[in-house]
Amino acid sequence: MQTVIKGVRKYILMVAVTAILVALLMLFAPSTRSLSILVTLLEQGMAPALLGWGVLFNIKAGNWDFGVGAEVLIAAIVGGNAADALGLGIVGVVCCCMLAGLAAGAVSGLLYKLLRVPTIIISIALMLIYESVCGVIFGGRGVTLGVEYLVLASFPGNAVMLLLGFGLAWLLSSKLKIGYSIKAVGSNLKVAEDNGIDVVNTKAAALAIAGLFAGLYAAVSLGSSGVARTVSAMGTMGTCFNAMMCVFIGLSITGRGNVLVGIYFGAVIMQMIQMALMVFSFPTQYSQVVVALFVVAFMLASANTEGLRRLKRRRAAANGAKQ
Amino acid sequence: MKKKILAILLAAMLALGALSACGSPATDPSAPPSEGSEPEAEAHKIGVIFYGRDDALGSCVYEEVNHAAEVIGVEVEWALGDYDTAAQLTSAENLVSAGCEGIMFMPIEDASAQRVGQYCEENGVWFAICFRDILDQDIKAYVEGCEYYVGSCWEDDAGAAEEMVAVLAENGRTTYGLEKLNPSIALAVRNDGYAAGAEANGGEIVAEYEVPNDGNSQTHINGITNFLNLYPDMDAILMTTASQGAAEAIMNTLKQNTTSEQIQVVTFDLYEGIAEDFESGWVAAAAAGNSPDALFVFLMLANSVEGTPLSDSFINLSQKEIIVTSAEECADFEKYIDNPDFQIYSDDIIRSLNGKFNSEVSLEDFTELMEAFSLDWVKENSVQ
Repeated sequence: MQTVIKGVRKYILMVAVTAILVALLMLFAPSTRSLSILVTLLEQGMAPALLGWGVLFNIKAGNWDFGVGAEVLIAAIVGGNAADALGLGIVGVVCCCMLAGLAAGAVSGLLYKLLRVPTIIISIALMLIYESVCGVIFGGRGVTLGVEYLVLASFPGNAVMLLLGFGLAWLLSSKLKIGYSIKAVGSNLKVAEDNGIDVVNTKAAALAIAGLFAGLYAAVSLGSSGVARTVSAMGTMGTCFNAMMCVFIGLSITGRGNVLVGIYFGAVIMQMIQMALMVFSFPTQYSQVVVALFVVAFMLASANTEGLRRLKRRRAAANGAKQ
Repeated sequence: MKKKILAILLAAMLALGALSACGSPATDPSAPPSEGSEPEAEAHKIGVIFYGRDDALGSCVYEEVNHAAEVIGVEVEWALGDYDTAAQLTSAENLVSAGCEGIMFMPIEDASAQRVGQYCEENGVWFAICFRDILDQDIKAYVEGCEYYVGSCWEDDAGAAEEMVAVLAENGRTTYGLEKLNPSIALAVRNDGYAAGAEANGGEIVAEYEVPNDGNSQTHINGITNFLNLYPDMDAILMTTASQGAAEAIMNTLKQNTTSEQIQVVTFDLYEGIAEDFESGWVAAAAAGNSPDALFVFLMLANSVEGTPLSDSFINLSQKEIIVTSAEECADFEKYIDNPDFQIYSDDIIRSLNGKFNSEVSLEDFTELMEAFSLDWVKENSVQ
């Protein structure tokens, strides 16, 4: 019983915040009062969560990787075309996209390892290169898949991909040494180094892992829409920032629960905000402002909660010392 | 030591890659050599700044302009792939440095028209604008006041949007969802056209989502899914653009979640597979066929560069759009208009619009041809 209570306590914050926001939406927008809307929101959160989990590894490792959107693009175009040409079906699309994404991320990691230039510079340079490459390979046409590939937009395809991504992220972050190394490097670089962790290799690995999840996201996108077209002039930054916002919201509502679950709820909240803006006919040109305000509000709330907790702990310690 | 050398080599490769990606536009030196019927001792050179040549419109424009240049004996230098004002200005500078005496460009935003125009004016280079009207009145006044401004051409996008809403209304569809373009870009007049069309036909736009500028298909999927779930009465979707995979993402989402009896679509630009979608009733109308816009602007600019301007002042041309409403029309459209391998205008017509070959060429020759533009006209006048 205690274990159950402990488990509920861990996840109460993220579930409660999401539930309250959904309840508010349903209260003020009657058209959203249906189970199908709730299911839609939960489904819409799946794809962004996949990319968010990849971005999380970078954030945890202290990397600034703006190239993850371009990695999605190149993974979709290379992986999608390869799988289609080889007739590998949707499983092939998933595998090829993941491989292409991993390769794109690995190049980023390798360059970081060899050049020792800040990841922000490497990632921006590679973003431009990947976007340009996408405009050249396969005649610059991107990728178009047939209807037989469109099985990842709805249940059970989307749920399978979510579970696959979650399993992979959980394995990497909680069961393998690299996950702990990334956490250690992100928490304190110097201490990690003193404890024998190869900081450069770890940060490079985080970049590669983000590429792997970019590939997974690319596969879900292709399996939902059947298309990916070339983008240029840093156009892929939007994809990267959206994933980052899911992570920031996720981190702020995770509490003591699993951060991967928190990011999924963060993605659901992001989709809920978009839905709310549509329902309330909010001018679309300001929608990013609203999303950004929400992210800031979540971060502020999270920072203040931490501050309050610290204050509480200090007072308790002081009281203990007095007694 | 070896590692250091490898690192330096990699850094150099990275820098070169980044430079090639962002520093300069995709200048295409593959412009055809001038081989007009009257060989020029010194062919004039015109630079063209355009967004790309990979989609249907881009490839048609590229072929039409190259062909016209060949016919009238003018050299063309392309700068492709610029998506902001700074990049377009850099391309203009590069093209002028490469010896271009005229610049045709499609401003990505109003500021681009001003910056590129100002640069051309200061350097005594003729310039003309294709596919765009300038919405900012101050910028428009500045550009129109430039001595070297030849003129512009744009499509009646708002009118085409209204016409397409009327087609939907005839089909009994009056509750719309809008795939909206960001109001800051020039093509946003399509939003206004759809709104005006809805009002004129007793319809209503009940919801909208904005076209993502990162080309992320998830935005389209989520937008359409929300339309379907939140507005069960919605019976049509107004698409402002089919490019960057928008059409495929939207149509695939619709096909997975609803039927063509429930939802129909009208769209700007055609996409792969639209003929089948016309046949199965998903698409009610599509507006496209504006590629001759660039051809006429190019010919107008060439006349100024070659010293036979059509007018003492600037010229505003208007390009008609074709509204396709059936699979049959779609097939004709793809054969005659949306086909980079087919030249809409014959070599004789092109020459007749150039002062070098026709000393009596006038603005009326241009406007008459443009007024006559239709699918039937192209089919009747087809000589290929």
